[in-house]
Parts: sequence; structure tokens; C-alpha cells
Amino acid sequence: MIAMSDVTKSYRGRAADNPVLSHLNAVFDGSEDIGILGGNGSGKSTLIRLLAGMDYPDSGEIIRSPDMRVSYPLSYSGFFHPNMSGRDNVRFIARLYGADENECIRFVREFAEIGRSFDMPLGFCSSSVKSRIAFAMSLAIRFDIYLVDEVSAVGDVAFKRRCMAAFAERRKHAKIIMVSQAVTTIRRMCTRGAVLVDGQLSWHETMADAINEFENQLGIIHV
Amino acid sequence: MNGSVGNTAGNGAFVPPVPTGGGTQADNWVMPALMRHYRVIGALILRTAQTRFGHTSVGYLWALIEPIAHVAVMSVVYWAINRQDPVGGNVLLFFVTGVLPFFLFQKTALHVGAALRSNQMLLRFPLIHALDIVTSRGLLEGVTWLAVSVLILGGMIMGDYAPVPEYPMECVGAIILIFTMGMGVGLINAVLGKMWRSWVMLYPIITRPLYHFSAIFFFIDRVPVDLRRWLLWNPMLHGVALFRAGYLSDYDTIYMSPLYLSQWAIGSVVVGLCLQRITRKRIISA
Repeated sequence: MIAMSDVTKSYRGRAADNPVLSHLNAVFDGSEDIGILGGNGSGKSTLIRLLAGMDYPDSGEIIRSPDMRVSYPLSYSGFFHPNMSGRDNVRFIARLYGADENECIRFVREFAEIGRSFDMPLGFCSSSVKSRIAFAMSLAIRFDIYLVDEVSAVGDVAFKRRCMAAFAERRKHAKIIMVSQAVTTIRRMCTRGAVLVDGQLSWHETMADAINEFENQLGIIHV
Repeated sequence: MNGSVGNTAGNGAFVPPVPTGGGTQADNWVMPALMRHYRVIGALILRTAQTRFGHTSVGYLWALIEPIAHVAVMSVVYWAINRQDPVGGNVLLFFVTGVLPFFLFQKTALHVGAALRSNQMLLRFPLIHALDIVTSRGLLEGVTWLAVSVLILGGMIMGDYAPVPEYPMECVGAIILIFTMGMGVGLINAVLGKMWRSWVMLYPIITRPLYHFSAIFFFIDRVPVDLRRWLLWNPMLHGVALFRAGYLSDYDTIYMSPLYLSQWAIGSVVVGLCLQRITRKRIISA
């Protein structure tokens, strides 16, 4: 379970009376796939980072129950050290989570299919190699909740298909919390949804209702 | 999944591995929390050891060369100006037992102080606490120092250039206190350097005189009273004195105060922890 209680978050350079998230309350119990829709700058990424524990709220509390592993955002590669090889980066993250290093390395190497680049310092690797490793790394650790900040598939069609297949396999034992503006992806993957507007979450019983509100909201903005 | 990994199923889909270090138990969270810190710090030490010293082993060699070079330069200067031996006739041992404890403090305070700035990306990692980064950096520095000291002093003992320590426990006490103070000052440096960029430039300037004022190359008993009064404010002078007195009773001095050193060690850690606590939200996003 992740519980957010009265969470407010603003950033420097932004008026304090206009926070990104404002007195937000929410409970994610990990029983459903949650989709959160929001326009540009509505605070989607901020929400995901707070849920992941990558940032503190200005006020309020975020509590994660210890029996549930929450992922860092899917495919996030910001933790990789450029002077270390893909293999060593994978080993480091596996150690942090107490996962079997060799299993993780073998999984990432076979899944990413990047050959000898796996042993080169990541700073010398192309961005596609990095994102292949990052995606495989997210799957190599067994999380109970995957946090997804827009699905950005990488690589050729075959690799994209493999990513989707592997992620689908993972989701048999895990739930997701996804933020996106891509209505089609969210409709396909999530069962319950909310719209992030004015720093608050507006919840709906079904994903379809949430999508309706989001599209209405967009319509109003466009008109 | 039978614990097998990376099996390509018939349709080309991969079966992800199931990590062994499964979920923590909710009914008892103390041990899992401790195990997590232990694991995180271990992973960080291995990572830092890998990136800090570069990909060649020359990096580790530098840790050994630096203190030797300091001792060598000062020995040559002493020999050139043909000065009287400081104490006990063994110039080399006098210098080594001064340079080593000083390096323990200086290197720990400096590298721990840089740990947060150079690991910004890790501060955002959900499992990693800022104190994990600081602790792992300090431990790596401490272990490196221990290896270097054992090599140098061990080498000198083997080559009959030095006796074995007379009161080893006193040396160990000095090492613990100096290391603690290095961690405390390092933690203060880490926080201040993150909040206030100029501190990174200021700290080396402010502490530059410490090297000369810690009685590494002279004996505190032979300093004129008016000067000594001021020098005794420096906690590292007491650290060096305590280490030396433990190594050889000839080096014992009545001016040494282990209590004063302890107070600095504990005080700096307390101040560092408080600073870290106060600034933890700003540090992660700075």
C-alpha cells in the first residue's frame, strides 16, 4: 500500500501559492491497475517521483507498507553510472534490492540483446543501448507495483513487441500505476483511473469515466 | 518458473527472474530495515571502489604513495638543514606516525564531504538514504587508510626501521576518534557543500593550516608557550599526539587531551547529523 496524506509539492521558481500538487490525498492498495491522466505540466511526473520515493513532498506524508516493493519509474536510466559498464550497473542495482546478481545480469544480457556493448562503459554506449538495458533492468527485479511514467517503447518493432510481452508477463504478478496523456495505452492497461487537475486527483469508478473527464477537459481547453 | 532465468518460451517471450531477497515481513521490521542498510552500504562501497579509483589499480597505489611522499619530502628537508632529531632519534617513525593519523582525518573529511555532490543521481534512488552514501564513502576511506597504514608501518617493522607499537589499544582509540571526527566534519562538509557552493572552495582554505599546526613535523613540548596555547585548540594535534603516544612512550606528552578530541569527534557528528536532518528535503532536489 502507498498512502499519500495531505501532500503538497511545489518547485523553486514557481509561485508558492500555485503548487504542482496541492493537499493531495490518495491510497494505492495494489489491487488494481491505476491510470492517471493529466495534461502537460499537470504534475504527473512529480506524482510518480513522489510515489517512487525519489523526492520528498513539501508537506504531508507518503507511507509505503514494507511488504510491498514499489519500483522506480519503468525504464528510468538516471541511476546508471556512465563510467561503469551495463553489467556493473545491473549488478549494483541488483545488490541494492537484494536480488540475485547473476540471475539479473543473465536476464538483462539476454533480454537486451546488445552483445559486447554490455561490457562497455555506458558513457560510450548509444542511447538505444542504454534504454534497452534500463527497460530490462526494470523487469529483472520483481516489484509488486510498477510505476510507469508514459510508455516510451524503444528499439525496433521486434524489440518493442518483446518488451510489451515481457511486461505483460510481469503484470500477472504485479500491478501498475501509470501516468500518461496517451488515452489508448491507459485504456488498454488500467482498470481504474483518475484525472490529475489543479494539483488534485479526481477519481472515477471506471477507466472509461476518467477518460471521458480528461477528454472533456481537453475539449474545454481547446475551444 | 522453476527459478530458471531468461528462458525463451516458445512464443519468444522472456520469463523474468524471481529475485531471492523477497519481500520484508511486516510483523518485524527492525531486522529487515537493518539488513537493507547493510546491503545498500555494501553495494555502495563496491560501486565507489570501482568508480573512485578508476579502472586501473594505479588508483589504489596513489593512496599508498601520497603519505610516503609527504614523509619523504620532509625527511629530505630535515636532512638538508641538518636539524636535530625531533624525539627519540627516529625521524622516519616520528614523521610517519604524524602523517598517517592526519591523513585519516583529512581524507575522510574531504571524500565524505564530496560524497553527496558527486552522487546526486543516487540521492534520488528510493532505497538509498543520504546517510548510506556518506557512511559507505567513509568506510571505504577508513579501510583504505587501514590497509595503507598496515603496509607502511608493517614494512618499517619488518625492515627494522621501527619497533612494534607499545600500546596498540591507545593507537586504536586514536584511530577511532580521528575517524569519527573525520566522518563528522565530512558530513558537515557534505551538507554545506551541497547547500552553499562556496563552501567547497572555502573548506580547503580554512583547513590548510591544520597540516602545519597539527604537530606532524614538530614536537608540541618544544613549542614556545605563547604559541602552544593557541595550537592546543586544534583537535587534530591531540589526535596525532594520542596516536604517537600509543605507538612509542617517548612521544608521550602532558599536553595531549583525549577528552578534548572525543568531544570534537562526538560534537562534529551531532552537528553533521542535525544539519543533514534539517536540509534533507532541499539536498535531494538541489
